[in-house]
Amino acid sequence: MPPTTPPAVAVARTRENTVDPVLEVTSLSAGLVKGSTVQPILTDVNLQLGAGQTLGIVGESGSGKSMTGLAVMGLLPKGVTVTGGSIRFRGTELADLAEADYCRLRGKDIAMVFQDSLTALNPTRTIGRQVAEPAELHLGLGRAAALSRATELLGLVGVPRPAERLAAYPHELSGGLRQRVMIAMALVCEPSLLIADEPTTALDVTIQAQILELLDDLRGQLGMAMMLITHDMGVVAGHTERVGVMYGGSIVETADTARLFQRTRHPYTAALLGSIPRLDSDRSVELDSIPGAPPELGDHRVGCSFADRCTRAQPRCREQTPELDLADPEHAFACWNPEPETAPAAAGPVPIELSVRTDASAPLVSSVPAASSVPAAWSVTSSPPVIELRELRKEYPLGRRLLPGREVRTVKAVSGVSLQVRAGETFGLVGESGCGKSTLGRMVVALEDASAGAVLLEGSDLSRMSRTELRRRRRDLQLMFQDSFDSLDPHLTVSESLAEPLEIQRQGSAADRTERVGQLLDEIGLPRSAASRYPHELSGGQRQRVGLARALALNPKVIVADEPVSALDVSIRSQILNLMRRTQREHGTTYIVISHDLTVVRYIADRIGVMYLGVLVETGTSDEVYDTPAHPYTAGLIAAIPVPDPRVAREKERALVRGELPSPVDPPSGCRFRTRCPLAQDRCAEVEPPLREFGGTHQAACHFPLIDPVA
Amino acid sequence: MIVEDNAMPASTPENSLPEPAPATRPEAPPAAALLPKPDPRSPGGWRGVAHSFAESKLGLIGAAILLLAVGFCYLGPLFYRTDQLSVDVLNSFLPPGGGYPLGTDDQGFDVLGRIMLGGQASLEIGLLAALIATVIGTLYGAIAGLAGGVLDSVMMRIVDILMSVPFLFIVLIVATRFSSTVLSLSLVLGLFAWLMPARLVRGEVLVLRTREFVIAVKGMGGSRWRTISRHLVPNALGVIVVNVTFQVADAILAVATLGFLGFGLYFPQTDWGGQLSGGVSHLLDGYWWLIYPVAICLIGVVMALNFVGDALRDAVDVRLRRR
Repeated sequence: MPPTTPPAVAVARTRENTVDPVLEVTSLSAGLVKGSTVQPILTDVNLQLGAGQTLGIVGESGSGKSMTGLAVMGLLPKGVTVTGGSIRFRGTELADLAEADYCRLRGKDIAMVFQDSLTALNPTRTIGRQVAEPAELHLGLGRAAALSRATELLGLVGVPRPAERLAAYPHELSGGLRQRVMIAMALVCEPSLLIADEPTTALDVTIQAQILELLDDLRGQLGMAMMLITHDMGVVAGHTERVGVMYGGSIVETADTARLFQRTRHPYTAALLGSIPRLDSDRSVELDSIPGAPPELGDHRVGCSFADRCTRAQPRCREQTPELDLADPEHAFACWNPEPETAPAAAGPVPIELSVRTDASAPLVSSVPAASSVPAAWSVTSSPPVIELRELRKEYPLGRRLLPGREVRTVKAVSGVSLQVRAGETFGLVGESGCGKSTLGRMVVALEDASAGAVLLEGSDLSRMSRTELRRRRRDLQLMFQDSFDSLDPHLTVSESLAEPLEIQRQGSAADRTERVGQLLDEIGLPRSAASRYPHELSGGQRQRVGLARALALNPKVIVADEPVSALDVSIRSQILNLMRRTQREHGTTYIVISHDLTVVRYIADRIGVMYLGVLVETGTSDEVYDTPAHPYTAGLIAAIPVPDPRVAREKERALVRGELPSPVDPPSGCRFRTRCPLAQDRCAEVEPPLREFGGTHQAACHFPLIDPVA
Repeated sequence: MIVEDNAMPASTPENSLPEPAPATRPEAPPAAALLPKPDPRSPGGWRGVAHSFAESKLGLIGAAILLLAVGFCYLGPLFYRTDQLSVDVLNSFLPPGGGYPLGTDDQGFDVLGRIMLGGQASLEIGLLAALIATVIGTLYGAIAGLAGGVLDSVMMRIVDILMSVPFLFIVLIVATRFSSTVLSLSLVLGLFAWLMPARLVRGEVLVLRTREFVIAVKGMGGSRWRTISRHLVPNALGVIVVNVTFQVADAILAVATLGFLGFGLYFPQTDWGGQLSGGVSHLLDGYWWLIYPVAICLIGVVMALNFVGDALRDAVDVRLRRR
């Protein structure tokens, strides 16, 4: 190891363990066999993993990261076979192991945690039986002994009152608890290798932080090796010692985590890091974005698979496939024209992308200054609100009322939210799933009726409008959906989908509409030939562009974007976020952006509202809220965000917000956050805290705020 | 797909697009400039369904068999003329050979010609009954699914009740009361077979109603009628069309059952079921030509319909699920 590497603990551990790796994957290739042809899916994958170490595999969808995990588990999908290379696990060759021998290994020595705990657990069996099953199978324990082992494990993974939960069925548990059960199931036999495939992707940030912390602790306690497969650079930075970055079915760069983030060599890794919005990134500058879309799995071509999207690409990159140069096992990358090696940046909270950008000769997609409108947007405080919510409430009845007079229990999705959004402003709404933010968004665009309170569009109450009036006014209120596949009719072409709002609102002649569709396509950066395409013929990012174009078609005053980039790959997100900001500048549209992702909201929003269990707990400009959070919940949320910088991530405090969201059927009395709040006192249970002023536009509802209120 | 590759600005390498002009054309982001290459095997819309269907070997075989069967039953009699009206007892039970390629039956009718005639009846009744069932079922299911609430519950309980009535029993009673013609048999079968499509379409409508593109139409101010005609119907059509093929197969079998039990068409009209029934009564006499040819035709057509239905279902599913 070169002496220049910072002597981090993690690195020292690497050196010890390279002597005797638990898992060693050498030039592994796998492909889909179709008759006599083989469609390559993994090419030349090299990995090493020592005991007690965590290896992060990062990549976007289709990069082959999950396939790598499945290959090690011997669980490749039907038709896909290992075509070359070796997988050595503690000296045993797995690549050609007989299925019967694999069965003895799986669940005992190698275990896996899947992403979706609802489908990975058997819904018809109790969790006790499911956790006990591997112990019965592999350890030969009797039913009772296995169950007591299961209880022990459930306690270890932090399931409260484990003995009582043994008889519970998976659907009776929350997502976070189910994920813990899956981890317990994987750990019953104390495996020496745990493969976690996107273990926290389906979870909220506060739960994610807890689960990752748990996995870290358990790895230390049990001394096992862990392979953490994820798309999130932040997760990797905080929880791994070594990282393999995958793209197009191969490892393009692998190094110690600290080194990979500080001295990134592969242009893909560099571009990926540059395109992630961060809490401390400069909002006046557009995000870097990687053009195009990642290749699909099995979409093989000659040369470097990243060449088409790479700013450093040379003719050679399209002709010869670069191989992972293993000369320096500490830092290997597959690139003909890597980023120049930079000296490790001085310690301190210097964002990584600076080290990438210092290379002025080849900027990764120019960082266009986002014009002066961003600071200007906030000078519009005096302009009248476009959207005003007054004590807005939404309650859904649980079940039907059969007998008159009987009290019907309700889910309190939104409980009295008041706020104003001004013209040209972007209001970001954040909160965990189930906090009512999507319901609120749908009420703003009149797709849900309010149970009480009012939504005012330019001063007029939506619920008081006649049907025809409302129908006409809908042109000013548009919704942009999360899932661009579901929000576009699969039977309509792009031009038909884009023309539909114009037809409905009877705008222009057929020729005008065709022209408008063309304009819209120009605006969102799709070629006009895309008009005749069907949604499934576009990539995810392109579909989301069409979704945005459809929302823009009527030139609405307000666009509510519900998780606009959550379904997209990391490298595509920044494209869409930049596009949303650009179109807003040009049209002066007001945005309400709903997201669980605080970094996304931080980047795009001028003002932010934090929701918890149906109430707005804090609101203010994004600087006010992120720099000096007043509510403990906001502070906890911010602390839970994985930061794509190992130096920052490792110094982070442990998760601040513990536990899970209480049921919205019976929300806690007083302050709704008190059950999870580290600062809660008796008063919090008795009095519901009102919104208090914290200077400027900053308001928060807390009895014991983290900063002092004004007056 | 109609889109030509040269129609897009593919000549410009996409990564060179963004560099020079920071603010002049901010509306032309580089990122999505290149569309994925259209997959020539999977164009969109109904053409795509046709393409996917064509990829299924069994589906093509099924379609070929059906085409052959229709040609045989309807064009056959033009080239192979036989008398299917007057009984000819002297020439009954003749084995295949001579002037009778498939022999003659107990009434002295030429079997080959009779299969053609019976096939016409079977195919007609099958198709007609399936259409009746599909139209009624689709409307009923769509109304229930769209209305929701109490009306939906009541309508679907009615379906549940009708489902539990022994179908054959009722059909037999009806068939004895009314003269059996192609039309009346189709009506009777169709009126009993609409329950399945009703359930199917209701389920489909319930799923489609919550899809985001349907919600989006509401958000644009689109009317209910527009939602139904432009989005719900085209998207449910695939499922409905697929169901028609299975319905035809079911109706042909049902009419064969009726014919076999002696409640089919009146003499001298016939259908495949009636012919089978006639053949079975002489099974022990060794008159195999009364059984096998017609049975092969019946099984072949029903099987072909199922092949076509399966292939169509896969093709339609691909359209909905290719993600």
